[in-house]
Amino acid sequence: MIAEAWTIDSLREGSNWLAHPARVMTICAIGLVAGLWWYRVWTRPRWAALLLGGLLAVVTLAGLDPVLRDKVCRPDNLAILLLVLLLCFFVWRGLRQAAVNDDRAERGEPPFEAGADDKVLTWPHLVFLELVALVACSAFLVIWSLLVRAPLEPPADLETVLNPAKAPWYFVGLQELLVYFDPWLAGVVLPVVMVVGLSALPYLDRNPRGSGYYTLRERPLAVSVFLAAFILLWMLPILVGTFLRGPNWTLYGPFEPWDPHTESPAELVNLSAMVWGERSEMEAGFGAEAALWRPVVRELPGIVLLGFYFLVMPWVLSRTAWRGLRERMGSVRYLVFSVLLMGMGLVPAKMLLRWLLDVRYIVALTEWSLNI
Amino acid sequence: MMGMLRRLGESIRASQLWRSVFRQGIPRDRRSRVLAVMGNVFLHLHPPELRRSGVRLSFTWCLGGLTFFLFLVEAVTGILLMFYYRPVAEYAYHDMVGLRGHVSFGLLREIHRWGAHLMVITCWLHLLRVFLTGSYRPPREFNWVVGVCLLVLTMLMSFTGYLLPWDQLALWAVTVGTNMAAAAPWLGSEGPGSSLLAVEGIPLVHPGSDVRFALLGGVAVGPAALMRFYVLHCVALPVLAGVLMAVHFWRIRRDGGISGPL
Ligand code: HEM
Repeated sequence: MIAEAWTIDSLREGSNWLAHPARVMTICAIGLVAGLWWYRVWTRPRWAALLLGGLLAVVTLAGLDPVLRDKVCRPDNLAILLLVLLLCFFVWRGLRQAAVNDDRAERGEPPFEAGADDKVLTWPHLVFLELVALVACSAFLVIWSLLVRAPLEPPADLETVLNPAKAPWYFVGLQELLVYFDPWLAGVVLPVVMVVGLSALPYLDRNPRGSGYYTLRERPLAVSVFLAAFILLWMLPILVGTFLRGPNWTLYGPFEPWDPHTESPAELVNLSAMVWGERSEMEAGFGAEAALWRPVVRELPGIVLLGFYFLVMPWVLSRTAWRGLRERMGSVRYLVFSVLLMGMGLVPAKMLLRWLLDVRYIVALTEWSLNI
Repeated sequence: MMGMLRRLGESIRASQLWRSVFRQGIPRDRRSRVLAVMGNVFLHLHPPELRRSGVRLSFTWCLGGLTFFLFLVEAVTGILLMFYYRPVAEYAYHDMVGLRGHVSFGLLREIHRWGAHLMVITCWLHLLRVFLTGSYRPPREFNWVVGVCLLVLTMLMSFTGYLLPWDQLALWAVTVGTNMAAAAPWLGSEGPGSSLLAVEGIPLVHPGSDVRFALLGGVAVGPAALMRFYVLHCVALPVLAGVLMAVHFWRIRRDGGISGPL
């Protein structure tokens, strides 16, 4: 009995420790790379069933804990749980079908979906399928509605600040980015990069192969970049923001109750201060009316770093590893592609700088509220 | 007994009333099946014939279709909710409480709310499917862009609806969301660059004139914001989304139907 309690407690503590964004992100990134590398192995039905069983077991076991159950069962959060389960399913099915097609391609066979002349009639084939999907979806929705009431909290009151105040779950990912970026980046620029990047995708991806069927082998770069963005930068921040952030947006382990406590905030430093030293000559005597060039000079290290990141790195890549890519895309497309990709990469880059070096801002032009 | 039922059925299907609606019997041969799809305004969204791979459930998972279906569910339940709900700060919350207790078929709000969440989910998963099958490649690039607009609209419809219950959850979630607007470069009072937009020291972009103000009709979430979000939620965004969906569906057919290997 005592031994059992001890194991469960240490499991809880272990998970609470693991549930730091840095560790969660690292684990998921490694999992994604491994999953893409060995996609032909683990997507086989037997392996996948094992993984699914494991996932459900973990979810059920974790659900036994009242603290975590309370967090997950907050009404709107059930949608996130559903999303996670469905996402696991569809990523599995997508990669499974890709594995089947890639095996066929290696044997010189056309993809599973091939056969342009193989036509069927809409009535009854498609109409029947749509009817089934529609009825199943309605049934699911009605049962969900019968089981769970829509939430209604006390009436709106501007005097009583809700803590934690969270955005609707599909925007919590952006809210989580506020930990790393100022609002103009997290709430405006990065979403714009996302929407523009998504829209630009068909015009940037010039790979002629792999359209109209599931495959990984024929478009490895596109699929891995997309899945990394979709899972690590879109889904994961939602999960972290919803389940791991409590009052004051402080980090709580999944099994820790949200009793308001103040975490001693980490000492964050700006990159410029790391280079010049805190309160250096450079820093002293800058007021709001300081000459234009002085903050710029102070922030030169960060500006140079960003310039290197956004300009030099893509240029070097276009001469080396991505030479073929650049030639296929043409210069204009490559330029747009690299700006968007680097803009997206800014998110994990800043996270790493924060976790490893406690960097607050890379460029801190606080005078103009222009902090990066 | 069975014979009587069959004869009843036959006489119903032979009646003028029935035939005026359905025009023909249950389609059993190829010709009448094609006609059944072409002659019906709803089914006519589809081509009469499609490639076998596109019809397979494991190709599309019907995710786009389900997103559209959920949009329709939201429209119907939303109209019913409008019978009971007044977007005025004094009444909104009470109407919510009333919907909970007094309205028969008290599932309306639940179906509307969970349906909205489900629509966001199916929309994201639809995007994932379209990506993984490489279905955004020419000639479907533009339809992908239309899809991205639909994605943004779906999330905005959900977000504007989030405020309407006028409870604490709604108020603070929308406060968090709209505060980001105040940080927009140049256009938001707290964003970079806005302090440079000044005439003789008088700022042009301040909390009373920036994009957050335009969105909320005030500097904070209040009655004006409730009205704005209501109008956006019930009229502007759904109409826009409906138009874009029409374009989306039209383009699927113009682009040669559901994608498949060449
Ligand atoms: C309100 C949201 C949306 C609705 C109602 C919708 C509806 C549909 C439907 C019914 C289809 C037919 C095939 C299927 O069911 O998968 C379809 C296909 C398609 N959708 Fe959407 N969609 C939406 C959002 C999106 C988004 C977010 C994207 C991508 C960014 C997108 C891109 C496409 C493309 C490219 C096709 C053609 C796929 C093919 O030919 O295989 N749609 N959409």
